[in-house]
Amino acid sequence: MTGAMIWVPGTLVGLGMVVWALPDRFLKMGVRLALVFLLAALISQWAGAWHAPDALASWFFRIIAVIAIIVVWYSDPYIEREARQHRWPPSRVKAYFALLLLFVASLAAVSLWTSFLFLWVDMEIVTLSSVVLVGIEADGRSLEAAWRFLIVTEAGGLLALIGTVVAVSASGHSLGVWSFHPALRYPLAVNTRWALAGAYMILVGYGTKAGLAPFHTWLPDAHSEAPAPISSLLSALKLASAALLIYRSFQMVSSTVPPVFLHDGMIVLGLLSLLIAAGFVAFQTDLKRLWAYSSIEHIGLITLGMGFGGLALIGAMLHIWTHAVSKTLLFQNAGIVRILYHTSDSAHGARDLLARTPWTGGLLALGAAGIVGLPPLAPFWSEWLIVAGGFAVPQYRIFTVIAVALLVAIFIGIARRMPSWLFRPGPVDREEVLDRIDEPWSLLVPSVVLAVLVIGGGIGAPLVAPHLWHAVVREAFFHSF
Amino acid sequence: MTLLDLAVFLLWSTAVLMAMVKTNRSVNLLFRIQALGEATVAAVLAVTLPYPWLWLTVAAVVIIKVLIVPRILFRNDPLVQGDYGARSPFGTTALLFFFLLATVFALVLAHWMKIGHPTLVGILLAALLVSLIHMSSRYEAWSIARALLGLETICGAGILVIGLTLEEPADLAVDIVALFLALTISWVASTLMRLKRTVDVREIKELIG
Repeated sequence: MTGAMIWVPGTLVGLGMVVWALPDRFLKMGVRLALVFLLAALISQWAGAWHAPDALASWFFRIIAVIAIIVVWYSDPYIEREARQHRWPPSRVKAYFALLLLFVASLAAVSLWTSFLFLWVDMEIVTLSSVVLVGIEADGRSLEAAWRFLIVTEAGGLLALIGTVVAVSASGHSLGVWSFHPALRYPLAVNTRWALAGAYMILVGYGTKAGLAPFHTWLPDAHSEAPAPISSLLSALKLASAALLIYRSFQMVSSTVPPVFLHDGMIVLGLLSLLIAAGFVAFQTDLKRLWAYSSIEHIGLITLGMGFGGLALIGAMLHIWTHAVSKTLLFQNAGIVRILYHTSDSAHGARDLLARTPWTGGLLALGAAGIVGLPPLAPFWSEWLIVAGGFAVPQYRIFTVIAVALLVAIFIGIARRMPSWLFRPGPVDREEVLDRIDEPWSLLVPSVVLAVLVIGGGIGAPLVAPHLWHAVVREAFFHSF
Repeated sequence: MTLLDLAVFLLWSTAVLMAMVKTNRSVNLLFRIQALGEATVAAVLAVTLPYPWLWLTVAAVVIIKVLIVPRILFRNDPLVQGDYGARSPFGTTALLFFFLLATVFALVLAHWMKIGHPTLVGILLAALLVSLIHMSSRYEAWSIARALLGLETICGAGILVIGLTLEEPADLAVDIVALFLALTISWVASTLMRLKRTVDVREIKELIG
């Protein structure tokens, strides 16, 4: 255990409690303090003042810190407008920020903690805080989404708990140890069948939390009904956290179980997720629902990369970052569309974005181009690595071909839908072009920062942090399962 | 049959009964009994193993699951205190038949896995499967909520029985999660019920699928 495992999440939780307990006039100060703390944690980690447990944990922590800074920054003006439009009482605004900081703290803990049992507890905090945030609007639709989110992911979570206990115990490891590679405590107690059963329970359990098909049913509702900053965090970080826990658990259990079973399980769920996304993206008229199905695609892609291993695994690690920046941009953009047009549904008036709100429309076009994998934008590089890694392994070539076909289908689906928001004039039943809408800079600036990352973050991230990236690559090649 | 077998059997039988009963009052009582089953498992292990911290688990389970959680779930809305109006999509007989199949499957699986104490673990697995079936076979929001919490109780007992290598009170954190789970379920479900005036999730269109 290192101190950072406690002080990073602990300070954020403390700030959340302060925000919740102090009078309303201190709210902005509390949120800004949290921003400064996140920035300080990121810079100090980068500078080597403290260390995460391993290179992958460092990599994931930095992703979490960057995305969390942008989301907390964007939340301030966004929630101010959302609260005004939907008449939120001040207590709800305070509860939102307190829960947001708890959500970010628990996400940070996923990257820093190393005990499998406490990681499960932490994942539960991630889930429960985000369930309340999804339903915070307290209208019928958001509560229904929160209910489904809660029931489906908690059932999965409990399966993951029992799977973790079974897999760790059957592998002869000790559950109480704070380590990704716990020492063999009971070598005679190893039971391969039981360990494999535990591993598959983990795959299904955390797979449900990751939104992998066929356990994804909660995801489109939760992502589309949550406030935009929460949708961003769910898609960019929460799904990837659960996928990473699957990877970490499989790494641990691979000393007992033949790795081919673990690879195959991940590949099957990854391909199924791509299939579900390909089947649904072309029919979405709501921007947030479209990006929710796209999230299923990308978490499927990350899982596929982890399943292929080798070069594809490196691609998956990079894709956690490139998907995070692209999807945060897109969900924040959908939030701006909702604020300005009072809907994000093209069938209900969110149209002609490029003419009426050129910055919002332009950012949507850029984000959409990125998320479908167009070069030279960030997700292209990571997707390329995953596909190249799949082709590099002869027995996985057929699966890679299927994956590429599904990616093309998703590309066509999104490309066909985009003109409905970007170019089609006027609201429903009216063809004339309406006046331009003023775009609030306070909401646009965080998105512009993300746009820069979408343009240059693919190749840029490994170049900006070369030592860490080399360590991640080394870890992926030599310590994978 | 040892006391541990009996406690695990109690977990399984309350899981079955919770899926069958029609009133919120009965399911609340059954949930309390199920939590006592988990506390008994922890107490038996506390006596037989050199882990004195297991008494902390016993205390936590009794306080959180027997005393606090049922109150949280029962307090909010007069709507949830009445009988359930919704019908199960399966008949009672069909449901019992599914439970029987799940139990046989779990017992066979535990023996095939060649784990120590296969019958004990098999019954625990069966209780887990029964709760999972309960969650997808009943349409009342509060019944589903109890199934989820019941599943949590069974998993709590499971990590004590299966997790032979658990040598510190980490399971206390799992019990505390149950408390927050109950609070979250209670908030979401009672707000939902107040908005929709129904306990039947089929009348809430978004939840149909």
